[in-house]
Amino acid sequence: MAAVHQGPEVLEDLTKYAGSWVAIRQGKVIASALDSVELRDKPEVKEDDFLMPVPDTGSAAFLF
Amino acid sequence: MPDLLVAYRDLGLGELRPILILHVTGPTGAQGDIAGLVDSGADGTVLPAGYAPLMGYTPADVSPQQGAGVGGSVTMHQATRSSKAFIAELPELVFELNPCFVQGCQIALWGRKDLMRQFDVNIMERRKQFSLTRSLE
Repeated sequence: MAAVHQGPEVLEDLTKYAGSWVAIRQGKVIASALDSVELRDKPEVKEDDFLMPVPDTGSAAFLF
Repeated sequence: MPDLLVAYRDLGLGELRPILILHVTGPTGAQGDIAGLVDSGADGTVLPAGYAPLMGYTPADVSPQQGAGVGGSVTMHQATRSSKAFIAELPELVFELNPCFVQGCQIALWGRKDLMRQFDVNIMERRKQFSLTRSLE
């Protein structure tokens, strides 16, 4: 039987963070910053938090 | 029989997409999860430039190259040192990632050269899910 992929969930609407990086813990944003290093170095961000960029509002559709 | 079934997810971005989370270890040992789109149109792994310092890459570890995207030509920085990656549910299969970092890229892309050399990918758009099956090669 195939395993089912889990991984971190995001329970918040991230659109208000468009163009920023966010740190996610237990589905919630716990910090945001304009760049990844600034975010990683924030004291409230832990090593195992999930960090991701939030596409800006011009990226409603991804075209590659 | 696939090894892994993955439901599309929206990651708070408002639309369900074929997103896979990889646990990545950079060349200096820095670790973290990265969410990316499974993208057969990408030749290899493409990452937003902001992941480079998080993974431990320095400017000395990347080489500038020209690439092509739907919007035209882009300058990308190809890693000259590999990272390692695995999927949490299949930790025994660790594979190399050789990412290209692109300024302005807004989501990670898991393309053909890294992920898809390890797994056959079956996209089931109507079911909003995809599956991964270990390659027999």
